[in-house]
Amino acid sequence: MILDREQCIDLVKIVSKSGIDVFELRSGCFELIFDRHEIAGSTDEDYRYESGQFAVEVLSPVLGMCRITPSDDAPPYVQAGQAVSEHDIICSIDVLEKRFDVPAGTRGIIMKLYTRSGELVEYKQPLAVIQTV
Amino acid sequence: MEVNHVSVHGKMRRMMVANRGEIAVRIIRACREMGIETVVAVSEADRESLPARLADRVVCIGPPPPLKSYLNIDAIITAALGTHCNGIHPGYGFLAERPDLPKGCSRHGLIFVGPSAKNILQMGDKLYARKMAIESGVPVIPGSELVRHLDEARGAALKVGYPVLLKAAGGGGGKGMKIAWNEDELNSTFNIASAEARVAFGDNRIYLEQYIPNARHIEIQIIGDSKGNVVHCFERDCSLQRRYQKILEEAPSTAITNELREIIVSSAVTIARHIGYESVGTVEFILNCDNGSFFFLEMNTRIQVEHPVTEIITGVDLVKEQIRIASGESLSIDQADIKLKGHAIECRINAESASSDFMPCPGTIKEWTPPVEKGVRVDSHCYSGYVVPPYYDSLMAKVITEGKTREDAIKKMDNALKNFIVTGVDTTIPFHQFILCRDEFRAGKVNTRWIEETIMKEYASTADAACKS
Repeated sequence: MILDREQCIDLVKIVSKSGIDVFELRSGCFELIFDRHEIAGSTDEDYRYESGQFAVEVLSPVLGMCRITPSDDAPPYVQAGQAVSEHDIICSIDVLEKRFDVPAGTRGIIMKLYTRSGELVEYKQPLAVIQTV
Repeated sequence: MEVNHVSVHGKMRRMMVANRGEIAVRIIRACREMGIETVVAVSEADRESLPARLADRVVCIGPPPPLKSYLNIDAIITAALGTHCNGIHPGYGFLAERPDLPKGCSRHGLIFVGPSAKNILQMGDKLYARKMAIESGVPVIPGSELVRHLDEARGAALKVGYPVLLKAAGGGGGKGMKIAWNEDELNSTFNIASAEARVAFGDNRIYLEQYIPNARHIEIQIIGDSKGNVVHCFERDCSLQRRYQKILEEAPSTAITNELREIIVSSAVTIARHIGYESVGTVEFILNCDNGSFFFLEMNTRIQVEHPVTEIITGVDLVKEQIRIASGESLSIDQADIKLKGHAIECRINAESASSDFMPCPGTIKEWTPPVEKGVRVDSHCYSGYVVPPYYDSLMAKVITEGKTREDAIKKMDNALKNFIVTGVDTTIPFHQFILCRDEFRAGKVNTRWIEETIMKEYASTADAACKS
């Protein structure tokens, strides 16, 4: 199954409005999971989920070591609760000497950041949740 | 050839298994028995694989295409460092013979379970390997230096004598290899061979060797350690091949006498000593069945698919020995300890339809019930419900039988294949059964062309008449 980004967003919008709590679509290597509990079950530190909106997970494009700051003494790229636009960097992934900046990919509010600097993140591991606006 | 990278040695604590399929399972088994933790690096297509279930930890390194996962050296080294592994085992295929992996391991303080980058480079260049054999006093097939264009190839072929084999200098395994029986065929195949060599190895250099039509493929398993000790574990006969890919292997060979065996194994050991080889490796030879002469073919600097037949007839655990040597230990065995005992046969069971030109058949295995009889070993990563992915080679299992005699090993293989139940995907089991019941095979009267020139034709016309007796 091949769905482009816009089709995925349309699908999530439909599911979001339907009142379904959990929606999973799997076909071969394609996986789309919508789970309202994941968002509702966020910790106190997370930004509060606003009902009626939907959220997307930002997945790691590569395996590597995560960095949530551009350098050791710099502030984090983003924090929970912060508004981001599509091209804002939310973290970077180091693969030996190469660095891959990970953009938000969508406009919205950072609901949760899953990783810390120095952690190994796998390919397609969730890095953050963004409530889209 | 100057390469200065110091190999890292030390006690292995946690191993990154940088491979998939049955060899990943084999490495995990050896590590478990040695008390070494394992982390397996998988592509997205292999998250549910048996190695992923067996390893202590799994990390997904990339999407299914090998270039983005199993061939991604940076991702594999990062995964090893991020999971606190102190060594990487590359298995066979993928990165096993890429010198950049041992170099990368060396730079990041990781133990590479394999030979040095220098050894890999030396033997990866097939012309350089020939030079090493010549320096060791081992016969090589009459051949040419590099031929840069068709005119040079024509001249070289006249000197060598038709038929000639066009071979890629940048790598072996039959890729880019073409036979030319006369000048017309040379004219039509030279550019194809060169183009295939470029695709396979990124190197279009070609050289010529005399083609020996009635030949057996004999390879010698050797093991060298960092103290300069080298031993051999006798030969494997891998003459049953289709398009230069091995189908069925056995040890010992029916084609060599004890006297000839002594000469060939000592030739292999001499080459390994000459290059200071450190790890398990295989020195391949071509035996001319018409006159008993033998020639160095190439050296493979990795653990090979067919290593179990050697383990059966010698009792040496090659993977464990390889790990010990990488850790800096000396060989745990002397040559005098290695005795040839009994006979072993291996059949490679692929998810392929032999009656449809060996078309791969990926898909879901509905039932997987391997044979369990005494004297039968099955190395596999498959299980009922496993989905054979379309992205990789189609090897599903290696069935290895052990007998006191060759006849005994064949009989056990016959039974094992009859009792091996696989449904949901096509397999090459019927093709192996077809081979096993042939008089020429039973009599050991085969050569490297037998499968393609005799068996393929007969099998195509009697595809569903596999031996059922």
